[in-house]
Amino acid sequence: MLRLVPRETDRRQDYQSTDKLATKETLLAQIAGGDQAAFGALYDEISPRVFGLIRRLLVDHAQSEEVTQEVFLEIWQNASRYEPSKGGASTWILTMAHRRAIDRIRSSQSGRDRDVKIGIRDYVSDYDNVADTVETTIEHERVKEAMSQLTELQRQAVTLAYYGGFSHSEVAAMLSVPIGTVKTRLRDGMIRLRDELGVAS
Amino acid sequence: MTDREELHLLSGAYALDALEGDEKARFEAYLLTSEETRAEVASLSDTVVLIGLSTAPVAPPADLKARLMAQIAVTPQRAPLPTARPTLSAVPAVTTPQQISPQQDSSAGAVSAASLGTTSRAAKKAAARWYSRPASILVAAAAAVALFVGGNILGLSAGNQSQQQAAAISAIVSASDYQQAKADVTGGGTATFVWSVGLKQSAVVIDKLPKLADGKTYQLWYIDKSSNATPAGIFNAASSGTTVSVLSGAMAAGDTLGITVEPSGGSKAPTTAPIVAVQSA
Repeated sequence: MLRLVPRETDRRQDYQSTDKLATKETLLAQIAGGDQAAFGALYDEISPRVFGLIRRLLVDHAQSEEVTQEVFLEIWQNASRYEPSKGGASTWILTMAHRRAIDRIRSSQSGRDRDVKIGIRDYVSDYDNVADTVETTIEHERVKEAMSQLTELQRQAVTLAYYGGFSHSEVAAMLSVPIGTVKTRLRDGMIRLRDELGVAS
Repeated sequence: MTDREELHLLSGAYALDALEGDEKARFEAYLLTSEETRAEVASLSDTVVLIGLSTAPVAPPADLKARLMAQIAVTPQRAPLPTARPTLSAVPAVTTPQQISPQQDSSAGAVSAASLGTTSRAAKKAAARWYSRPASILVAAAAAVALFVGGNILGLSAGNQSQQQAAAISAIVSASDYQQAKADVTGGGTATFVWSVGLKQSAVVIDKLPKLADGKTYQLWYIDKSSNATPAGIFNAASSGTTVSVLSGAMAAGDTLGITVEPSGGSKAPTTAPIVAVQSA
């Protein structure tokens, strides 16, 4: 079921500056020291985000599970290489999740086994996790609003790249615009989003 | 524009993971030399993460945690990087089997074996349907199809067609039920079909599709669950790079999407085996 769950506490929180995320960063530091319980706590905290994002890109449940597993193993193995000065823990983890999902899409072998299911992405009446509730959050509303501020071409380019996993040359062909135009639209679209969302530049 | 300025413009594409191969490598090398671009990429990457956070969270299967906890218990961790390099590549390189523990190695093997098991499931299902279709149905389909030939979009001017194509593809990929499947094309190239059952629309993006001899054309088809083939437009390979075509007509859930090589002008029913086909469900 789709249910709007506004979480007022999120409204004033920048994702990079919350207590909650400071906790994730602390957890990563503990994981870097071999703390398995900290890994379990981090998993509980962020795995629905990681799995939700990967499944949005890959659709197939089994493949999404595999890639989620790979991402968490990487977190375990590379926690010591996380550098807080370069960004929040969520940034590090979700960037990794997006990249791994895209790697999976682009690898020719698994591209072919990227399964086709009648999967309703955003409105999952979750057949695998009956107890699981899919929520749209404040972040969802904020991003939707920011996206609506983009030009159509900016929005199309960003959407194809982010959710479709298409490279900028593929996006150029799909939108029938020169590749140079796609480069600049991806950049000025993202800058616009950044400014609309109030991300520090 | 200088090379550096041109590279700087790739910051958005890089943050979205939309760069590949050499270009990505060149951009990452350039990043080491430009603090300004690093700062921009950092802020855009943070923005990309917000898009990620806006995606609905979904709890992974309950047993995944137990498996991971067992796996990490026997998986060694990497040492910190010796020096903090001035790069943004906070995300480590792809893990290779050589770098990981035996336990993980074997699980990675299991994963790829499992993947192989499902390889091109969509393509296989599609092939089964395509080849099993009875000739009598084909004739009926051809007759039915003839009624719709006037409705296709071939007559549009190039400019119009590009705009319509861009709008159609963007609508498909933005749809909440958007899906895609990739398959190799017999004779060369890789096709990615994208579709939305809700919109009843689909399109195909093909990298490195070979040019056909004079007198031949590529033709798109929808094949429904009863194996009726409906023509969905003809197209030629792009002069370079990526070929894109939006299928004409309405797609139904479970349709197979396929491409054949036909005589110029297209056929009313497929006259050759498909060079690529995927089933949409």
